[in-house]
Amino acid sequence: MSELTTPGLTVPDLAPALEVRSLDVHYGRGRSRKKVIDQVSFTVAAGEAVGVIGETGSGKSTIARSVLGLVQPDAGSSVRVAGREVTGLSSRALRAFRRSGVVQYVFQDPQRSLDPDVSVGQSVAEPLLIQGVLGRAAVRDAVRAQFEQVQLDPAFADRFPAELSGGQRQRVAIARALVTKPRLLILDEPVSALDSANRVRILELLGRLRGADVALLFISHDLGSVAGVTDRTLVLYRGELVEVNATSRIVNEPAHPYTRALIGSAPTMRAKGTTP
Amino acid sequence: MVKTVLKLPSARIALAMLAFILFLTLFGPLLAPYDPLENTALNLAPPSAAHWLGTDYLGRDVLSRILAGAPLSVASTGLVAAIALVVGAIPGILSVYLTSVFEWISLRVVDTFIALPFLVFAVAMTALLGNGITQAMIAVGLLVSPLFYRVARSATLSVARSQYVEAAILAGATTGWIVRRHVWSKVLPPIAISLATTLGVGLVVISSLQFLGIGVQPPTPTWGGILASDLGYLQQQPYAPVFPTALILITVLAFNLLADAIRDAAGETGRALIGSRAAKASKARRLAAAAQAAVSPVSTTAAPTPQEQP
Repeated sequence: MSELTTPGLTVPDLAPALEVRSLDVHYGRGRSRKKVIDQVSFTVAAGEAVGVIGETGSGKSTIARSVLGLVQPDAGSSVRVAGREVTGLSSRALRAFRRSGVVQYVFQDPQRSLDPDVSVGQSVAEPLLIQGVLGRAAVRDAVRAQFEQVQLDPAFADRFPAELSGGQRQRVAIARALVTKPRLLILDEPVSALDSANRVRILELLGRLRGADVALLFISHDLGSVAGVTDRTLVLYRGELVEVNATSRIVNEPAHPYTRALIGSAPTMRAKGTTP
Repeated sequence: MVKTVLKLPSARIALAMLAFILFLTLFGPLLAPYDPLENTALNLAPPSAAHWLGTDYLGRDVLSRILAGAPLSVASTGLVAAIALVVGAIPGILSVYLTSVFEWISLRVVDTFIALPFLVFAVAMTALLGNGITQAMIAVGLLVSPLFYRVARSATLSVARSQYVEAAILAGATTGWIVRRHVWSKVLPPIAISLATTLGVGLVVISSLQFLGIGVQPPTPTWGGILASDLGYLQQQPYAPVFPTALILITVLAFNLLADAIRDAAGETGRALIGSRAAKASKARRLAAAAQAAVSPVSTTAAPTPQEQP
């Protein structure tokens, strides 16, 4: 299936942060081989925020893992991040690509994604330390700036994850992802593990990031979370892209029956009339 | 982690005890008042000013034999633990990161070591390689190594599949970086606990082998060997086994205390424990200061400051 058209939507005229073409992914071997992503194609422009919604098992995280090189797509698939083809890279080339910090990832559960024995400042500094480009003072300054960007007190840098709240931990995880100034930030259910107050704060933070020069790929099963942050939304059903449109149109005029079912399962969406 | 461990009183006590044992190990032979191998006519003499711990059945000075036996007893235990650590822990960590063939082979070797009866293996080793302390240490070290293998592998497995390791991989980290940064800190505490426990167990096992005549041969003095010879003359000297036994007990107790302290101080629970102790100590200091202020309000308020003095 080729990329679905997006009527009435103007995408910023910049080099795309992510281009996915004819993505096919299978899991398992032999008789247990199962197709989990079927000919998915889409583009995320520079600075654009795109949501990917679908029920559990629809293949949202598999797309993210394919982009990150954690899952090897089938032959014929193409994933270009900031113009660089990432499928078929050798492990050394893939490591070098990751080290460049062009694409970063935020996990669902901040408690599990931060090392409990490493201070949160060290966790945020880790991608820079792995790059090995900056000196210690510059890394410290970058970490401090990143803490301020995600509205955390830089004095928290010496604390351990257990000494922070869930929302603060997720801010740390976002700070870690932003510290290398990525072109593309993939957020996999970033607010699912948070309480409602922290969820709102993180969504506000992500909303502010839209002004920065980073493209967002926001993966969630909850359209309510995606709606306030993203420009466009992709609807994924059983590994297939069934609808792509401006998020406001997805919310207000869903075209595909599955999208309508998703909206129906989140009744507050229509009541809010959310328009990004 | 070392700083955290040292904050625990039990760790400080254990280290003090181990410092004493280390002192005996390093300087024991120099401090021995007599030649530990010199036979005299003064058989089974009770403690006296000349022989503080008496003499054994061949008239040898017991104190000199205990002091001279310290290096061999303690060093052989350390070597057993080192052999077990190298043979067990390193393959345990590598089994997670290397090929499945290495993993399978190492697991089967470890299963084999676990299945071997200890004494039979030790006797077979000495029969094959000769009856010496090195052979005994290799035998014991190999048989203890599965403990390290299992502990290291289990700790590494739990870390290797964690999300923070995946986050490091996504940042371009090499396997070496991941092991140094994330795996070591999780694997080291359980290995340190196993090491401390093994040092204690190793001393008992090595002493037991010496007691059975496997490893060190008489008349070379070792704590296990002294204990064995003392047990033959319990009727004449019922107190004699107390001295070598006390030293073995002190060493084993110190290693076990240290193992407990490392376990208590490791990771998040360790930080919480130290934090709560610090909070309690701070609260106690505040209460004590408040009580002191309540008892002597005049003396604290009436004393003039240097500026107030004429």
